This record gives sequence, C-alpha cells and structure tokens, in this order.
Amino acid sequence: MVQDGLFQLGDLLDGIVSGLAFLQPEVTLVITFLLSIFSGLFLARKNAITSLIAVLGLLVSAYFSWKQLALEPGFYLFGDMLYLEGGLAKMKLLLIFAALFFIVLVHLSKFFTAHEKGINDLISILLVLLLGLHIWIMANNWLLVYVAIEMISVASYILVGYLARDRKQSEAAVKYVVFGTVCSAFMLYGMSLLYGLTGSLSLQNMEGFALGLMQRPMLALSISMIFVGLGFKLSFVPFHFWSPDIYQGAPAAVVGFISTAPKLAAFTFLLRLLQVYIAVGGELWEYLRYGLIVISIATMLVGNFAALRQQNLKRLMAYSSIGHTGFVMMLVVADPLQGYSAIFFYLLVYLLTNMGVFSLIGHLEEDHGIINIKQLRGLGKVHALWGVGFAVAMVSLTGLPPTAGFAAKLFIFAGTFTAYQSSGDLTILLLLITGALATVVALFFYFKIPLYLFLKEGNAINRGGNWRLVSLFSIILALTLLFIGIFPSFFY
Amino acid sequence: MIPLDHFLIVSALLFAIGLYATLTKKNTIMVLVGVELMINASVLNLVAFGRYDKVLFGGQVFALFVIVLAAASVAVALGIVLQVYRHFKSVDPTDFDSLKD
Repeated sequence: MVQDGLFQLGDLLDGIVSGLAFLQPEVTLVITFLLSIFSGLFLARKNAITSLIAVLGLLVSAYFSWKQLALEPGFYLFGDMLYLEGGLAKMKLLLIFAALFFIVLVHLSKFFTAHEKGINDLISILLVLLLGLHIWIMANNWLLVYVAIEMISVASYILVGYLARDRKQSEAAVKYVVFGTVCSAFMLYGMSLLYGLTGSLSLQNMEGFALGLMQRPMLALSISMIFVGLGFKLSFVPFHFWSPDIYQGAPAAVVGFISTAPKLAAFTFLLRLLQVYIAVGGELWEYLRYGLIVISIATMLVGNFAALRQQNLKRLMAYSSIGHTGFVMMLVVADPLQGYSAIFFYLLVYLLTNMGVFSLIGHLEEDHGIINIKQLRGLGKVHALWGVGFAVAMVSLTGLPPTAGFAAKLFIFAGTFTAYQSSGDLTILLLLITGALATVVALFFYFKIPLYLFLKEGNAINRGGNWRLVSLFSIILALTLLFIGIFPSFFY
Repeated sequence: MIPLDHFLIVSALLFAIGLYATLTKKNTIMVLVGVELMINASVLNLVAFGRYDKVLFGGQVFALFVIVLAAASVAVALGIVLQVYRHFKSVDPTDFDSLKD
C-alpha cells in the first residue's frame, strides 16, 4: 500500500508540474484576487485602484486564454481532474468579457458608486466568481464540480445581497440563498450516491453501467438529484421559480451578470456531461434524453407564456431568460456532440443582449425610477438614441432579422433540424415545433416595449443622470447586434 | 464492523429530516439548520463509501471539502438573514412578500 503510493507519487508530481503550465488564466485570476482584496483593505474605500487591478488582471487572464485557443484536440490535466480544449478557452474568453462588462456597469450604477461600502469588495468577489466559472467549465471530477459550483453560488449570494438597500433587495438575497443552498444540498446527495455506485469521483466513472453493476433505480435517483443542482443554475422548469423574484429584487447590474455568466458555464458543463453519458450509451442516455426533452419543452412554454402577463421590466426579462434557457437546451439535447459552436454563438448573443438590456433597465430604475413597462410611455421620443437601442435589443431577443438574435436562433434551429433528419426521432420534431411556437409567443411580450416607447403618447421626463453615456452605450449595443446579425461568420 | 446499509439508512433519514425542516420551519435560521442536516447526510454517505475506495480516498477528501464549503455558505447565509431582519423585523419566510407579480 505505502509502496504503491510512493511509486504513484512521482507520476503525480510530474502530472502536476506539467499541468500548471496550462493553468495560467486561473493562476492570474488568483493573483489578481489577492492583490485586489489587499488593495481594498489598505487603501481608501472610494479608491479606483482595485478596479484597475481587476481590469488589468482580467486582460492578462484573457491573453493567456487566447493562447489556449489553439489547443486541439482536448486533453486531461492533473491526472484526470481537469479537461482543456480550444473550445473551452473560447468560453473562458466570453466569461472574462462578461466580468469586464460587469465592472463597467457597476461603475456606471449610482446605487453602487454612492454606497458607503464602496465597490472594492464587490470587485474582489467578482474575481472569485469568475475563477469558479473557469474551474467549472474545465472540471472533470465531481469534487471539483462541487467546489466550483459552491464558489459561484456563495459569490452570487454576496453580489445579490451586497447593497441590501431596501426590503426588495434583501428579500431577493435571502430567497436566493435559501433556494440555492437547498438545491446544492440535493446535488451533493446525488453526487455522494453516484460515488457509492461507481467508486470513483471522475466524470467518466460509468464503466460499471454497461456491465450491469449499477442498481438502476439508485442511478436514476442520483442523476436526477444532480440535475436539481444544475437546474437551479440554469433555472429550467421546475426549478425556475426563484428567478423572477431574484431578478426583480437584485440590482440590475448584478442581474445582468448572474443571469448570463453562470448559465454559460452551466451549459458548457452540461454539454460535456452529456457527451460522457452518450459514450456510455444504452438506456442511460435514452432516459436522460427523454427527461431533458420534456424539461426543454416545459421551460420554453413556461418562460414565454408566463412572460406575457408581466408588467415589471425585470420580471419580464426573468421569464424571457427562462425561455432562452429552454431554447438552448433544445440543441443541447438534440445534438450534444456537434452542437457546441451553434450553442456558443447563441450564448454569446444572449450574453451581449441580456447584459445590454439590463444596463438600460438599470439606468431607467436608478435615474428615473421606472420599473414597469407602462411607465415607458412615450419615452422613445424624448430619448431617441436610447429608445432605438432598447428596441433593437428587443428585436434581437425575439429573434427577427437582421439582428444577432435571428442568426443565433437560426443556427439552433438548423442544428436541431439536422439532428432530426439524421435520427428521424419524432421527439426532436416536437422540440422544433415548440421552439417555433415559443418564438411566436415571444413576439408579443418583447414588442410591448417598443410599442410603449414609440407608439404611445406619454408625459415627457427629464433627461436625468448620465443619459449621454447611456445613449452612446445603447447605440453601440444596437450596432453590435446588427453587425453580428449581418456578419455572423465572425463569431460562428 | 457496521455494514454499509446502516450508514445509508441513517444518512437517508438525516436527509429526509433536513428536507422536512427546510420545507416546514417558520424561521429562516431553522431552514438553514435543515440544509445543514441535508449536507451532513451526504458527508456521512461520502465517508461510508470512501471506506471502500482505498486507493484515492476520494470520499474522505470530498467530505473535508464539503464541511469547509458548508461553513462558508452558512456564514454568508446568516449575514444575509441579518440584513433581511433589519428590513422586515422578522425571519419568517412567509413574511417575505414584497416581490411579486
């Protein structure tokens, strides 16, 4: 026993030393986090140095991730703890972009900059969250998956509860914490059962399945419990009901980030997990597939139909985001092996649009106190540039040409249709029909916003706050969405 | 030696008690205690299974990580409960009703 351990030790050390060279983006994030938290401790609260350190660190980390783009095919690091390939490096770049975007939004937000706590701690927490996301998309071991998810969850609880300036914000934070911890406890129990069934914590631990060594009910129980945790992160039905409340209560900049970045990582992980389970084959993948198809259909329907009767802007966006989750899951289930580039493109567009829309909503809420769709009456005529940006974002979320949302939806539909043609599976056809129906329904609630902005008469409001900056920002957003929509091949 | 089944039955009971507490308790702190019971049920599972994993001791290492992470998330959760108490003067989950359609 001891002898075996000694022989293994040399190999282990070699594995660690050779693996460290591929962890540059993550090591950079760790160092940046330490620097930023120390700068926050020793310098004045309103100091910009922490943000500067964070931005520099993120750029360096992005540079290292950029260098990893060429790593094809993928390989395992540290034994089989982590998995790395060029596609995952692309996702890392997108996540870093989301974090940079979030830092900008926080600096523009009056709620955050005027708060007595300052924003330095928030920036440090953001770096930890990003580190968790990076580890999650690479993780190949259930222990690392759990550690990464807990890092993300705890950091998101802090982000949501950071201000706690009124009843709504603190209520959102407490609901998020309670729901999140219960879901992660479920997932942990599922992982412990899976460990018992397979005897290993590796993601590829299903060899015993084909040999009939696993008790089927126990395996079904453990995998469905793991999907409770994933469902919380992705907010698919039936684990979606936290998201409208949290989106409504939390600060807009935070919602923009937590509604996108963790979902991106969760989808990447889900894809990798499904690829493993396809390789196992047999009834495991069959049952899992049917379960996920039902979830995807239910998520699209619930998200889009429930959005129809929303009056609050942020709640509307919450249901819209649930609908988008269902939509991405369509291709995740239909074709996990070849679907990555289409899913990546969709997530990229979703990230840009959603964070853009939430920054506009944040401006409305903080500078004008507007939280309902009805209050938007006639605003488009006062703020023409700003209104156009908002309207283009809504068109893109619906998925109409010539915006980025159209190209993204097209790729998802095309991928799913190809999967239907090659397999002839009627359940995939059902997915496609539901997706088309959901898109039509989406038209009605997204277009309420341009309708109120431009076509209804209303009393003009003062141009408050930093409206010049916001107008510039929304024009950039609109142009970006149009550019990606017309030339999708740059990113696809 | 105590057979594996006994550990699994105890952990399943713990998990069920914890889940019952999270669903019924009228105090957010007791809900968090329920979550803690659920997490510890998994820790018991991991350690019991880990006994059969004599090469890597994956289960026992996992258990240690879980204990640390559970403490971290409870610390954050209690901080947030304190914040919510300042605004609502209550920690009863059914009183939190300012967010709705």
